[in-house]
Amino acid sequence: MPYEGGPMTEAMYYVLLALVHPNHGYQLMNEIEEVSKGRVKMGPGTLYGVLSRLEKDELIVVVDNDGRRKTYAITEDGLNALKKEYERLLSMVRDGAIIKEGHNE
Amino acid sequence: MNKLRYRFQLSDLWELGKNESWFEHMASKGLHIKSIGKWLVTFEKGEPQNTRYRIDILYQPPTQEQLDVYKECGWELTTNKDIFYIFSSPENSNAPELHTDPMEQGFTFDLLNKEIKKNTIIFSIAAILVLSILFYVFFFDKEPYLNLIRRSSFNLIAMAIGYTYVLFASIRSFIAVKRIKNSLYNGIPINHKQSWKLSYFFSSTVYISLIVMVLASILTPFYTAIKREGYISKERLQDFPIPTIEEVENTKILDYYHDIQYNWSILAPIQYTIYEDGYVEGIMQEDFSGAYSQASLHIRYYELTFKSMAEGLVNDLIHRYYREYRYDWYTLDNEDMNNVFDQLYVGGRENTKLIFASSGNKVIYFKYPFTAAAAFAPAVLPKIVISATAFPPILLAP
Repeated sequence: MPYEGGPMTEAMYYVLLALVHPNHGYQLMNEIEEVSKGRVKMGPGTLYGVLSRLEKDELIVVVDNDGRRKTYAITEDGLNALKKEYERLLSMVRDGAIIKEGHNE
Repeated sequence: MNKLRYRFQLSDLWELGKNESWFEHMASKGLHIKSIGKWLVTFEKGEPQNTRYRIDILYQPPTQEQLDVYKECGWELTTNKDIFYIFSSPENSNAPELHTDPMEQGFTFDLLNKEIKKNTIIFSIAAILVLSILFYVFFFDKEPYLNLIRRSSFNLIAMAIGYTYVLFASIRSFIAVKRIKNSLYNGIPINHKQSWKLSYFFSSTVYISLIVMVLASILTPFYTAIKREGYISKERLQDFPIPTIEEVENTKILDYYHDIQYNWSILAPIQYTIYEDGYVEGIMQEDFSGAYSQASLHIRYYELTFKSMAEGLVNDLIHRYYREYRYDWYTLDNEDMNNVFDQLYVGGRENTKLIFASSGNKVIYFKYPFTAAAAFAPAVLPKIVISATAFPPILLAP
């Protein structure tokens, strides 16, 4: 299913986020764990599923392939999509502030 | 080298949970999956182990780097079949799950779902086409029962069953794949411990039936060929306790010819077609061409698998052999026959009589051309009795 904007899966969001710095397979997994402060532990099946999907949708691109390992990086489109999603999540969080206010009353 | 064991494939591999739990079960019995063929799964006999299996759908063959990453996470590639890659990990290694995001895993079903949808449409159209042709042949033909009891009908019936199964299976897979996909989309992860027992029973039944049907289709012609009798000598005729024209006509027959054919089909396991031909001496032809006349006896005898088919078969035989001759005909009541027959139709004209009768699952057609036509009268009929125990119909001479 090609990405047409709208909510991203958590996996997709974090892969894009981690690829702001070009990276490859195994290190990417660690990077995601690091970026999410240990909250997101991504399985390899999910990781490669996301990578092949994002590559097809041209949200990421292979910048280096020495035949042994592929290095991926986020594309312009990918970055825009990520920023949009970030804004969306941010407004969701802001809107959600009602919960806290309500709680404090 | 370790011993190999073969098992029928449990179900389609996209039923991830079922296959995974089945592989785990087999490993716990010491049978470790080695490869997956078209029908059979090969296991290697070894020590029982607690192994976790996960099936990943990969549309592109994994790169070495990818396999290394899987391995680093504790998952080793065992084998693959098409797009289905089977990874294993020892239970105690506590490797993290292969898929941690149900929705992302749902996306891997996307292309599969489309592919299966396409196949389902193609299969359904093909199956419906073939089935309607078969249905037409069997039920819109004027002689459906004669069609059904033909030897070749077995292959047609097998074909009908086969196509019905294909239709059923492809629709079922379409629905099942869509259901798995939707469930993953809704964030429900694959149940890796899904019970496989019912599927195993179901698939074994399907595979065994398929093998039986294929073998039967191949072997039936051989069996029939062995069973079939062609010309047999007059001496050997004694072995066949059927009436001969000589007995019927009570006179000497010249240029005697006798032919018994046996046939076999699922719905009519016993079928005899008997022709007797000869010339009867001593009766001057109407056109004074000679003092002989041709006499021939034609018997068709069937024992059906289902008693309920007898009535239909009698009707078909009447349709085929009676209408063909366009005789005037009349029926006799069963009561007159001391209830020997369930159905009895007698027709004919001048020196030919036709009898169509059934008793239980036995059906007979008798074409009985009389030179001594006077001998054949309704009064003779009670003496034609279909033996209740076995072939043949016995004709008691009047």
